[in-house]
Amino acid sequence: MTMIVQQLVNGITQGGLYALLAISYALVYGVMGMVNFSTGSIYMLGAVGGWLICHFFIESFFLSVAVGFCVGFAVAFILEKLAFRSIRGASRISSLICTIGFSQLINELVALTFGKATKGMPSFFSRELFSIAGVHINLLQVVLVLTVVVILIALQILVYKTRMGLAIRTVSMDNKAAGLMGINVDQTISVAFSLAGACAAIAGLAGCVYYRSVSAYMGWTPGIKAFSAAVFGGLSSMPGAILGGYLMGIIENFGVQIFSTGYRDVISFFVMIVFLLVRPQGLMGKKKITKV
Amino acid sequence: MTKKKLSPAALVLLLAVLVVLAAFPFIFNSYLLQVAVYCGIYIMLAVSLNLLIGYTGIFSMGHVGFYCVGAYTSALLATKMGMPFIVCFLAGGLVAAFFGALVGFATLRLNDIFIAFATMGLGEIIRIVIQNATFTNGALGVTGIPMPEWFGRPMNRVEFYYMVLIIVVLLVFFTYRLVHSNTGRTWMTIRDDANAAASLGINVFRYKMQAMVISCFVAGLAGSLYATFVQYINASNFTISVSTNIIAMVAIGGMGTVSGPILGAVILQILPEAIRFLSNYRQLMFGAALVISIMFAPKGLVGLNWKRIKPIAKLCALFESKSGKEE
Amino acid sequence: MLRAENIYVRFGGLTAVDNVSLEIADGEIHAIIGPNGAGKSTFFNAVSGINKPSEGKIFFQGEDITGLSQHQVAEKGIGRTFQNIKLFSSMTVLENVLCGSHMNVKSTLFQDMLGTRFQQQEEKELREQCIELLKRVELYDKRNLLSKNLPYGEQRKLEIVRAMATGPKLLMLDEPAAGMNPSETEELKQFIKKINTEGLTILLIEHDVKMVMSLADTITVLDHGAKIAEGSADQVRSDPKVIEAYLGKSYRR
Repeated sequence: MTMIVQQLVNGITQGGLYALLAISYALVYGVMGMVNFSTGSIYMLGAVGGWLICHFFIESFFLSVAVGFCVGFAVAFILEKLAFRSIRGASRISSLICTIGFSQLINELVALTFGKATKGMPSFFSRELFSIAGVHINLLQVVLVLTVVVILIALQILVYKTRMGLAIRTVSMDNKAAGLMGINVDQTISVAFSLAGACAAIAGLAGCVYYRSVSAYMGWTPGIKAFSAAVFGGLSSMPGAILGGYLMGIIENFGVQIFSTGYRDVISFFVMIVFLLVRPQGLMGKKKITKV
Repeated sequence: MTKKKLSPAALVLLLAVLVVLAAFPFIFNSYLLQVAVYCGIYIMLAVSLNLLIGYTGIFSMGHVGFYCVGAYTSALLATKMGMPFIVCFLAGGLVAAFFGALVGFATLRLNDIFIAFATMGLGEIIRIVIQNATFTNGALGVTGIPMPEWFGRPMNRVEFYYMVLIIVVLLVFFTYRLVHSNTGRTWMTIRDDANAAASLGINVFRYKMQAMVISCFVAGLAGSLYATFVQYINASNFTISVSTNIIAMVAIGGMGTVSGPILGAVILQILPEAIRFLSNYRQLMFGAALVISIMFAPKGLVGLNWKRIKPIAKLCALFESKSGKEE
Repeated sequence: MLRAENIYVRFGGLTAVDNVSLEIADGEIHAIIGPNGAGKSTFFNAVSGINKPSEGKIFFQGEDITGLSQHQVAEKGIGRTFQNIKLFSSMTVLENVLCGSHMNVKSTLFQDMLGTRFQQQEEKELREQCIELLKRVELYDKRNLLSKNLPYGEQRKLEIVRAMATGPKLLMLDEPAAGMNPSETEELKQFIKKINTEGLTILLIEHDVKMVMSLADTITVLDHGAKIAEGSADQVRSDPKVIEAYLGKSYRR
């Protein structure tokens, strides 16, 4: 019982990161119909940004989050302007190849300048908050969960209650029609893409604080796992991405208990493949009618 | 693609290339020989992946998984059961093809993006299982894989080079024939429009499976050659980045062409060796190749309009005036 | 030739095709008309195996073909074109037609790989047959153009020719005149008439009422997924239900 609750707590903490990343995938997939493979790299950039602040400036969690947000937003903004805008008409495979390329470029450039070695993060909020019947919950976990929840709520408000959000949702449905209705499609895509980048970077920052380590290649695995989570929830649905992210975190932590830690990374792939085969539209997605 | 007879000039060029390749061991040192063998192996991987990505429109990111299966099958048969090379080699291909069939059966009904991630996931699963299982020696890898024996003695590296060369030439020949036949044409219909293909009586799933099995078979053979040549393999040789590197080769050379992936594999293998400064930036180069190929040369190097550059245009004119008429 | 019995196609809560029965006689030109969203294309797709009918049976030459997949339907002898042209854009005109003759190819994978004499011979013969076909439809001069570079009207025509290359008994055309100018439409009309007199049974969906009226032997009118009328051009033209749903008052005489 203790174990179950403990894994649930760990799963929710970790799931929050996946949820943020999965939202990042869902936003981009929604407005551009593209899977942004470099999401994992932006995750890493957020973490590196946070590390730089803590190392050279001041050890502050919230400042790091703010910096992570800015880094992610800016990098995604530039990437979209310089690269992905020009290949928007290309096939989904071509754009996927391009994002894989950028992912490698970013990772390698960081590896060259930042170094390939893993660096440590200072510990924040390490005080144990409470422990009931052997279940340990520390302050950090609570802070992380709350941070993620606040951002998710802010994002929901932005997407469902504001004009910009309306534009994003419209472009997701049909960007041609949205353009004809006078919505600035380019600008909307740019904003959505940058927001997605910001989400990924904050996830990265939270990730490096949680695991207390930063490295140039740290984005690879969470990036892919979060994609699994996004597929799990339904790739084009934002609530689905959140649900998928949290469930994936929980499933992974329980899976590790059942199998061995060596198979940790297999679990999310396995879930993804099963879902692709059995229910490709995900938990929350709608089945598409093929039009010929 | 109306059938073209090779012009005499192109034929001469092709022969010249073959002569240079055949004379390779006499001109260069053993280090370059090793580079050449890797080149051959990567040509096999790129050509086989191109059958999927370039011709059939199946974006597989799990190619490394089949390469890995081929390598381990061959290595384990050789070290644990003492099988002769030819058995290991063919078994490597067949087991990889079998895995390809399984993966294909599971994933080929999905849409393009999902195929990419599902195959990538399966490729990773294969690697992680191999890394953790006991029959594969886990993280230690397989050591002491013997070179093939012939005439009662182990093959030396020069002979191995020739063997790889012959296999690659055969592979390229067969690929050329296939893509210029009904089979290749059928694959391309699926790439261009699967619904239209089906309306012409083409069993889309069957032909996708066919491409998948053939491609994985070749990847398995390449794995077997790799394992035998380096004599030591480890699951960490087979990460996803190998897959993306092969994709980079195919994309920069030219998807859906016979010569493109060969060119891509050769260039991306040799560049870091030829230019010392680049060797530290290998992965960076692969990343750049991916980005450049999509943004600036969507048809790859082969598809660029080289004649825009004057000296090349002159050279081409020279060839064309000599060559006979195209049918 | 083709008999559809009480076909229903449902997507979730939406009934796109609602109890449609239809019979196409040998050698006729049969047209399905109706306003947008009347379920014409869905009915087409149900026959050609893209989405399976939720209920009902389809017989082709007396054989039950309900629920067969697309390529199986094609194998039975039903060729089709698509509403938004689906040519193989990276291939030339001739290659597109060659793909159409896929079902006649006998050489196997290994023969293809080795390039055996049989395979070479067969390929040559196929090419000749396809060139013959292209000559007959006056596309021969453009055989080496990429199909995407053809003018619009000829792309439509090529798609029909490609379907003809499969050697069908029934040819289903989904809005073949869509987006064509009057002269192209007229040419297409003559073309359809010609291939019909050469022995092909034709089922077509069309918006161009004028063309349908002068071309079709039988017309079926769909509205909201259901069949509201059927008969010759004159019968349909004077049917009050059709006028109300589709033709509008100007058609009343």
